[in-house]
Amino acid sequence: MISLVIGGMANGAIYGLVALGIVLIFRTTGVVNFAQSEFLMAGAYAYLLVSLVQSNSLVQLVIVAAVGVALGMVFFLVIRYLFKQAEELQVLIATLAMSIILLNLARVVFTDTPSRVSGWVFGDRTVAIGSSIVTVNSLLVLAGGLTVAFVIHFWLRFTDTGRAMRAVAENRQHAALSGIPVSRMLAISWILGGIMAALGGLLLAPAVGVYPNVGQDVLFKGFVAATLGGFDSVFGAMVGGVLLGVIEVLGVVFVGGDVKDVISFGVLLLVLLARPTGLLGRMAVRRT
Amino acid sequence: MWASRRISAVVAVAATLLIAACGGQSTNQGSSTLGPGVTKDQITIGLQVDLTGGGSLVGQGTKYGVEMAVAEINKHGGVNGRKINLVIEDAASTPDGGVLAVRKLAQQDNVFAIFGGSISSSTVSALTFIRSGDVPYYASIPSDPRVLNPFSKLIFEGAALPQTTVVPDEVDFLTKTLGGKNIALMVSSDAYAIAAKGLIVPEIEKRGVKVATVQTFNAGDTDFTGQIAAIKKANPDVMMTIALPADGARVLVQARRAGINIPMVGDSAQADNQTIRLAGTVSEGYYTFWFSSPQFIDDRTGEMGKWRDAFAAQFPNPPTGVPNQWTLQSYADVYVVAEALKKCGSTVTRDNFVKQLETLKDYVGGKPGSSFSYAHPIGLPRTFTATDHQGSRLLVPVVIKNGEFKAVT
Repeated sequence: MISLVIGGMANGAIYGLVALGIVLIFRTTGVVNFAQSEFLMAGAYAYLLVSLVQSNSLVQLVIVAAVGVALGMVFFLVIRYLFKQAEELQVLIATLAMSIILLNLARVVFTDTPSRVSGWVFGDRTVAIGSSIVTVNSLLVLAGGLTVAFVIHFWLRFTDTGRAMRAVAENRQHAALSGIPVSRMLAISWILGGIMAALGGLLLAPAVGVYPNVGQDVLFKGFVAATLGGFDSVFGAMVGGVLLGVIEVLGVVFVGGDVKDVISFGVLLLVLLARPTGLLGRMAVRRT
Repeated sequence: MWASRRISAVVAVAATLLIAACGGQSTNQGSSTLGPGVTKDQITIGLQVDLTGGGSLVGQGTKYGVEMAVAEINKHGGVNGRKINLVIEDAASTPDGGVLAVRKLAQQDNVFAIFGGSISSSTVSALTFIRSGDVPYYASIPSDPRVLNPFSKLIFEGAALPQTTVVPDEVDFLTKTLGGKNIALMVSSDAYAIAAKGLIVPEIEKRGVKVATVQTFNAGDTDFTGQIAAIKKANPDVMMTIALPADGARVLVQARRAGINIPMVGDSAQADNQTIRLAGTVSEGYYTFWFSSPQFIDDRTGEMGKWRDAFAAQFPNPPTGVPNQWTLQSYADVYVVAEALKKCGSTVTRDNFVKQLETLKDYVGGKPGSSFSYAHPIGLPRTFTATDHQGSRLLVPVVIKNGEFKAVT
């Protein structure tokens, strides 16, 4: 049972990282980023490629994060300046289009055939917890995801930049009138979202391989996690993700593997019916 | 005025009907009769193949095998002086994609015949359309029993062994060779895997052996924590996974890391270097089954070595994982199709093509007796009759040793 729960929580931490990025970007910019999955894919490929030439874990981490920064920045510039006058729906479709472009570019360059990569820092080691055997990578994913969620949560609450980002999320016009550099806050949101997803790719890749669809396979789980946790709550995104991961694993054991997604989305519907703002959300999020 | 308009309209309608009626018919050109998709210079063959999606490893491998054989044939003047014009449609590894690909090949591209290079999931959905039409369909890759059942004069199966043929041999291996008494199954949602599950479970039970548990997962799933926990709880002595290589490799890795140390077997789809590449050293001792050729694909000696060299010369930068077993299968099967076309002589019609395929016995392109002596004889023999369109029946158990597939001794 221990390995089941840990495994479920580790999967959920990946969903939570994806959800974190989605929520961060949405809260501040109002954009639902459908390309979050391709940010994760890019992080996975960056890890694969850099691990071929560089064994230093810190360097690997920095390069993966840099890819997340670069993608986040590109998307910020495209959305902020090229789609400045666009309606919300048009921007959403633009992120979807960019997602498809990135996915298909990856297919052309790398094909759909998965590649193998070892676990970051700890390789493919396993550890016994009681009578259960778990991979160290799973524990790393769980610890890493929760740490990131805590750090982001406290950063948003207790730092000047974090508070400024929350102000922009609440009301962009008022924030601008208060002297907050709105564009910079938007850029930071995109960059942080990119980093979250890229790190997710680095942590997920050793478990499942690296292939163009690697992010797509978790994107909707990320949205479910974000919705479960409350679309305005960074901490809720991670809680939602971990909860979803555990529900999935238990669903597989007690119901069956081929209805895993039915269970996940069924739980989502039930939560939305009982608590429309999500488990930790406070209010319906609507951009002003 | 009105009468002349009416006459014109009738003439126009009659002309349209006449043209439509002639569209799918053979044409007589001098002493030869040519079917749709055939001209004096070329024969158009459609290739339905999964270039994208979860079956793309299979599809890319197949495409390269077909292209290699077609290039060789065309370089040597084609079939009876007609070059093969290959039209490729991506079935995208989905049922809808399979239907769309086959429809386009048959109705828009007007091919003479279709070479089925897709996995079962994107083939089975298209079979109803095939059976209702008149385009011959030569399936090289899909192993779902529904390909040949119900029987259709139009549909042939080359390299791929239907599950009905394969399952008894696989279960013999599980129960007799490995001595399994309590067997766990891990089955993906791919169409062929579901078909196999429906056959394997009763076959195991028929031998008085217990099925410890059957766990399922969606193709493309990446976490099997729940399923593996259930399998451990069932305490099997042998475990078999029925899935494509990427899924099978993930299951293998996660099962071994979770402490499942019993003999593990993959179905024949996993007899691919991708299994070794994705699972790494964990793949040592993993069993699977091979039916693509007399030699293993990584054997660099003899005819396989020559074929590998020729492939590398023609395709210096193939995608990762290519060539693979599906490259071998499709390469060999293109020559089977070409031999039947050759035997059509001057009557290159669909009916005659089907009839000529049914005359092939123990055929291997490149072997003595084959019209294509320049082909590399790396395929297993194909035999068809008027009532049996399954070309191949041979299955060999293999095991991964020192990073390579070896025959089980």
